Amino acid sequence: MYKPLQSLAVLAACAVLPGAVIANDEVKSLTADANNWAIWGGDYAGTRYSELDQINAGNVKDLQVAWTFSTGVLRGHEGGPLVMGDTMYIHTPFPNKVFAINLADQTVKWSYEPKQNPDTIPVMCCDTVNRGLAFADGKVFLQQADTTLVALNADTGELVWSVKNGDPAKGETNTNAPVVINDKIVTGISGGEFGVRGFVVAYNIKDGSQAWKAYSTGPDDEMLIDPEKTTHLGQPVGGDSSLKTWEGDQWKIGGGTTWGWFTYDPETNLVYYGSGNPGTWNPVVRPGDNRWSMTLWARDADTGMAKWVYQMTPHDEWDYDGVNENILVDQEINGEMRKLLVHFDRNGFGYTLDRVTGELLVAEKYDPATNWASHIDMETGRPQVVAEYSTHQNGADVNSEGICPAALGSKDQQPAAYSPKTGLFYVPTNHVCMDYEPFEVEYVAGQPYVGATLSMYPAGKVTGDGSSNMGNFIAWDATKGEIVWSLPERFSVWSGALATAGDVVFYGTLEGHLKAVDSKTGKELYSFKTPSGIIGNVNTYTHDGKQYVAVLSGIGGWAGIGMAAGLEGDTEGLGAVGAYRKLSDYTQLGGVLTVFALPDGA
Amino acid sequence: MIQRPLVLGALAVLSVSAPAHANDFPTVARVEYVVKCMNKMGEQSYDTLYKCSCSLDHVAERMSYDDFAEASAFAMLRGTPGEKGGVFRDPPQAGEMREALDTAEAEARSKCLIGGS
Repeated sequence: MYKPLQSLAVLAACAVLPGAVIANDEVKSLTADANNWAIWGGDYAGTRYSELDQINAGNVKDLQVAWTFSTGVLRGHEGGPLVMGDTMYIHTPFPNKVFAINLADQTVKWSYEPKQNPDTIPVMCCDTVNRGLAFADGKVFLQQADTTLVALNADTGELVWSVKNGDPAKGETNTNAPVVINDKIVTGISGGEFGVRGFVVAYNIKDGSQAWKAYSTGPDDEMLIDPEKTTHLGQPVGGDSSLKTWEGDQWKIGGGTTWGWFTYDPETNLVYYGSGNPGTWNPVVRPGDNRWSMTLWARDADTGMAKWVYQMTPHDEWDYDGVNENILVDQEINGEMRKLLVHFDRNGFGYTLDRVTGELLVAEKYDPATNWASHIDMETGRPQVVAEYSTHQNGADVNSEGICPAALGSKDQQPAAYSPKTGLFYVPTNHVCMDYEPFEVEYVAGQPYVGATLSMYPAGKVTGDGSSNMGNFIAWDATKGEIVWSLPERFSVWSGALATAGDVVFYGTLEGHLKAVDSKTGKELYSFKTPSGIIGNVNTYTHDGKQYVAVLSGIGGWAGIGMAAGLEGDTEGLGAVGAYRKLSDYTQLGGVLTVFALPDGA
Repeated sequence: MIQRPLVLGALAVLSVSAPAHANDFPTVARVEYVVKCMNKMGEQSYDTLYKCSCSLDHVAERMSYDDFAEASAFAMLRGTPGEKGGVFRDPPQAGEMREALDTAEAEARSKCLIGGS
């Protein structure tokens, strides 16, 4: 079974065009140098692991703030900056500014601020975040909220080309970080709460022309699925694999958006990502498995053809988007080295698959509170849904209570890290459950297409263990599907983690603390309160031979929203506003990059 | 076999009735509180410095720093839009923590002659 697939993969890798190799090799060599942080995940595999070890478990307690940079932008700051050589590139939420910082003196080399229609803001479901930039071929790539993908000259910030990836009037927006693979840049689309039909698209980095586009739902040719060759758990998916699982034309507003992270394996030339929830949260009105929403995808990076798919949550009833990152590692399972893909899904299960074949190897709960399914059937890959928590079986206008995890999942987009030294994954998690009540809703283009109300609370209310923490930061063994240690956090952990060769793991909290813990034991070694809540990803790099750790803070909150949306009155906006009068009193809500270093001689 | 997870550190418990005189705010948090408070009062002067330092002393006696950080986060993030924002509005401790902070600050305003006194 494995041999033919592997030889296919080799063929695919050899088929790369000569001109295509340049950008790919550039990204590979940039990410191979640990002094840089050249891609969102540190490397194509998305491990968020750095070989740097000047800062280590012994001295991390001595960290000090080296410098800070205020972005001047409110709202949530997700993702993190890229660093190549002497330059750092920082992105912001809407209006999606980009700053190139000279690391020698922390001055701004250039900045870019697109003019975007503010009408984009209300059609972004979950704050106007942006998860970051890509770099290759002397260009910095930014996927703007209004769906414009721009290529900027990395030296000057001048616009080289731009292309429209969607239409905000239909609810299409963007939040994801694009990724450069070979001679193409791969990006996705947001808007699952607006009935958008998800897709992934690749543009040629030279000029922005479209190379391929692949939808998550619909006819096989539009999904770039080969009914005979594309597999689901080793079996060909067959013809009309998506169309058969929707009622009528529902696939056209089927969701399956692609706002998460992309990873890439140069050996197989496969790009990996997940698709989001099916259109409308009310499951009663969309019978069927709703393929291929909630699905992990492996596609050929040059052609877009799907090699394999795995649908984690058929017929979603809880909004467990499948978009979280897929981390690519080689580890031993049952005495055999395997090429693995590890994915912590919103649905509360940590999945380990063979990334070449799509074979499901491990699927276990990484938050023990997870209760909507008892387990994953390893033969069919299907979750065994517990009737009590089935919002479909309970029906519309019935409040299903005590479902774990809540709709935001046991983990959202904030990426985990992996240390090859410990063989463990470090996972920022939510520990939150919900009540969920679906209701009837009509689809109108550009209007929210949600169809459910929900209420959230700490998982301890359901498990009855007396705890009230809403998050945990865990170490996970993906070969066994086991939690190794777990640190309770008062809030959900929404920042991306970083692991280093210095045996330290970093993450941020919603109170605003940057924390460093021992990678083996989880013992807290350092904590520093940054200006605001952290939902950014921690990065590390060196400049002039010295290691730095950097993280964006800034989460928004109503004051920021009010200011950015141009609201002036004390009671306008999102309610509950009376306590605060002057928005300018709360400038700490703005984004700040805090950069840490050890004192000289430490 | 699922290994029993090793739970490190104290579970976050709802302890808004923190021991009096906890007074464990780090210097950075104290300075940040006072500076923000002075800005809110409109100017940086000895007048506002004294009142805001007094306010901080009172809040730090009433709440542990961890509780203060949690309550402040709940207060700031209350209006976070979308589905995710529910985690700052819905949980029972969200209102309780905000209220504990509001109460401490109201007491501080009275005690420290802030606003109208």
